[in-house]
Amino acid sequence: MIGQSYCSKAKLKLRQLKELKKSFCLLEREMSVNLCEISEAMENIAGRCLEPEVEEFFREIVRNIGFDNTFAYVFEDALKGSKLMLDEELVNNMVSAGKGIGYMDLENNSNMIGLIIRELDDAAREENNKMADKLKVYRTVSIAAGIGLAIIFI
Amino acid sequence: MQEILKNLPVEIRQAVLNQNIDFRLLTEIRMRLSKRLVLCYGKKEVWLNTVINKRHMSELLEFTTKHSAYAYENQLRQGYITVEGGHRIGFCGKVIIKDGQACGFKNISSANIRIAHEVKDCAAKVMPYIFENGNLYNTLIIAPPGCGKTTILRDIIRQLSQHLNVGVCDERGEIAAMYDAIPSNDLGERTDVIEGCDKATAMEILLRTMTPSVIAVDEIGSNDIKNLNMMCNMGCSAIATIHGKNPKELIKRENLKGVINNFERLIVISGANGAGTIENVFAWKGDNFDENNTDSVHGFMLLYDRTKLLQ
Repeated sequence: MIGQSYCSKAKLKLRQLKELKKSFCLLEREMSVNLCEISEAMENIAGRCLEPEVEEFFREIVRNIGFDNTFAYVFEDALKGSKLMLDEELVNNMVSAGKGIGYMDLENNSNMIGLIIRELDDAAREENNKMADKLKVYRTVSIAAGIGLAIIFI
Repeated sequence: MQEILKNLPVEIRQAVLNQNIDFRLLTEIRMRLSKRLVLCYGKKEVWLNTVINKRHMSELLEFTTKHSAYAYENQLRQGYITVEGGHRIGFCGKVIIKDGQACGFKNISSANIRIAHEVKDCAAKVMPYIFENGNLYNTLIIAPPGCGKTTILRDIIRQLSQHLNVGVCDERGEIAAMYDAIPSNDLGERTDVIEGCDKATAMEILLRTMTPSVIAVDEIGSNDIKNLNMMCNMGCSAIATIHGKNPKELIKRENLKGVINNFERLIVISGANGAGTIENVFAWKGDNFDENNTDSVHGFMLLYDRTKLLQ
């Protein structure tokens, strides 16, 4: 129990990664099947998000996308300024993949979003393994502490 | 003019705003890679000191497509994008070919921003020739690019809409300039617009769904002749425009063979006295009309000639 409560941060991070992955899958679909413009697609996705930090990330892009900045700039700004618990390496990879989304054709866009999805998938798997390892350690420590306490009482 | 300015890259927007421009007279903004920015006022050009670079071109593409170039592939395939207000932004560069068909551009080298002007009553001079005693003649407007075909067609639609149900095939969104399903330009109260699909399909849909008295089509090509023919035989009138200098030149073009046979009036427009100068109006008089008459063209009689009036 104590171990699990220590893992709450890791759990949140995992949830965010899964939600982001799901959202980018939906984004790809909105773009390639419905041919929605990017702001409309992101607005639709934000409306379906279950994690508030992920929703806010998409809403921030929709708010700032306009005629003064390129999509690459807005995407990077929103990603770096968001409350998402992402590692620096993952953020940099996502920024690099998201650079051309504003002016690339459908095929290249799908490939780039696919790349982001794979990055998120890898990060989620890594986080899952890390969390399982941590849980094991916490459980062992809790059992040892319990046994220790029992010995002291006896 | 905000619709045009907001689509320009930030630096170019500033350069244009720094000029003392009369936007009512501005006809084009031309951008060529590594060359200076040019503002065109009809035939007059103003060269600015701003030199165009690659970033300007990619920003222009991104802003005009609302950061969604993938959603405009159909338009880009034809080389241009129509933005809010009906302004057309044309691109040149290396064409990307997929499955043997052009599907877009990479390395954009030039862009031409053509500013659409809504000029109400600019068609007043031609209206008596095409709409007489409640009778509408199938009309073809012939003009070279940039001479005001679309502007005149738009005003004809607006004026006809006071009397008849008008269907508009607006493939490129230049006539109505729809934004959020509302036309930015005034096309009258009895006008229905189909936007975004090819003209042949749009004509069929309009005929079946809206039962218009007249269908207006901009810049027809060889693919539309069959549908125009069908439309004229189904009791619906047609007002169309086509690129060309005069009817004789159209007849010579192999792919447009027979196109003028669908029409009862031909209106020739030029840019001689500014865009929208009416040069000639011809009326269909039948196949047996005197071919030896120097003024006639393949069964059409000359009704109006600007040069003769000048003499």
